[in-house]
Amino acid sequence: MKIFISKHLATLILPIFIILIWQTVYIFKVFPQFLFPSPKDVLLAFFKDFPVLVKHASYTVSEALLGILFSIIISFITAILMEHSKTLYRILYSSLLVSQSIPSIIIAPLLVIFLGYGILPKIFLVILCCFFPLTISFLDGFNSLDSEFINLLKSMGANKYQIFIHARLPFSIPYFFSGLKISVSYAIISAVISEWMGGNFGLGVYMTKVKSAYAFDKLFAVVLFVCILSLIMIRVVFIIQNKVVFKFFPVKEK
Amino acid sequence: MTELKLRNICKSYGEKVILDSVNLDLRMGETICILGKSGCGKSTLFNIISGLISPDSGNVYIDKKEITKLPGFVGYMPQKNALFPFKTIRENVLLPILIQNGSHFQAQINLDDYFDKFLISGTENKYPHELSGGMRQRAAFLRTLMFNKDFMLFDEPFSSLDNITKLYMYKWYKDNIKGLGRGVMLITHSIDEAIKLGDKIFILSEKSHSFLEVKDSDGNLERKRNYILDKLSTI
Repeated sequence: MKIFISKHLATLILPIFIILIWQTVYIFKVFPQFLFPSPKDVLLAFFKDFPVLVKHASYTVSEALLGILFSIIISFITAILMEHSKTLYRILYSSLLVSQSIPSIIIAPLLVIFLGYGILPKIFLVILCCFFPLTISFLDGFNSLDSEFINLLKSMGANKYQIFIHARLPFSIPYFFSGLKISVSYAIISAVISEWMGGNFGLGVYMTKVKSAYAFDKLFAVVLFVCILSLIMIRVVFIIQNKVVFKFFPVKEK
Repeated sequence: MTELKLRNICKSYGEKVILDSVNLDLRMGETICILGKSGCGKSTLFNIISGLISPDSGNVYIDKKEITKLPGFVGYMPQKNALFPFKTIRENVLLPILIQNGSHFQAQINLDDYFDKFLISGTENKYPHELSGGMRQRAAFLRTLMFNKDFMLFDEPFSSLDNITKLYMYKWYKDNIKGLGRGVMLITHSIDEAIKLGDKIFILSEKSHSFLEVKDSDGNLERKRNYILDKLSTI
């Protein structure tokens, strides 16, 4: 219990430290106070605005979740095709790796031009950001298993499909979840950024509105809300991961 | 009597010769133990017999049927027991039947007798990590049996077990596997294991890349212990 408390207290030290510095900066008026609200102001704005934030968040989260869902489907199919065809694998794999170093977010303004201000460009950007890490994690997962398992299945006379179903797919599950954890945080960020470009609802849209109104306490409250949202989504994936991976791999075999 | 025959099997990886004109006959009911140093080509030979890799030349037959490059004709137990960690013991054991019969496999096979005989009854719905090393190994033996083939290949089946479990497993193996009447080829590093379990012992030479059979006029392989040790260090 003591260890539990000290471990959790330790994780709180840095956030508390940052809040203290924040408050000090506010008190000593390092920045004009109307530009730099105190932690108290932000918290007040957060609770006051909470219903509005939740309403906007419902759009942002929907975009992120739809984007992730489509990304999973597309990346799964792509990974299977690449796994099936060595030529396709060679053509796409290096491009996929390189493309991961290019921030997909810079495409956001272009998407608005081509796809308008609706939900479509938002989902599209989320897909662009999540597709690569998910595809790579599926591919790594498909090839992660010990060759003894493949040899064993082949010696039974298994075909490619059976090897996939009985070995490659289940062994890829832990890799899929590692990719999903990265994708989930990307998804929220890219949904918010695509909302900056225009639209009627969503946390990104609300951010631009409160910024234009110079309501910086509210702006900070949105930032706080996005952070919390992102943490919750990662946590949810983490919980599902623990349950699913534990079912499939109760103890990681050495 | 059904026989597994290897005829002039040759295999090289680039310049490195692994197997050179290897010949062997394995009859039903017989256990042949294959001894050899690490990397001398024992596992390559097994991969050739089970059809996983093709030899550069030579053929594998079961009686007159050629099975070179054809997987699915012999039971195979890899070096690590390779039980799927996400499948229960029952699912692992039934996997060969499921693979061979495709997705239409519905047969309710009564495995209880087998599980009793292999001393793993009660583990049907457990996962591999919940079993001891010896139990996992016996489950892997049972799975190899489920290939339902006349011949079985065991690649160092006891190497991962501690010494006490090993002694226990030798006795269990002699009482149970040998009585099944299948033809078994067993790779081992242990002379003791080869003498205890084998009807015949072959040494795979690192120099000639082929087999040397250990023979005794009375069939008493125990007397050949020093001879095997000597040959293993010189050939």
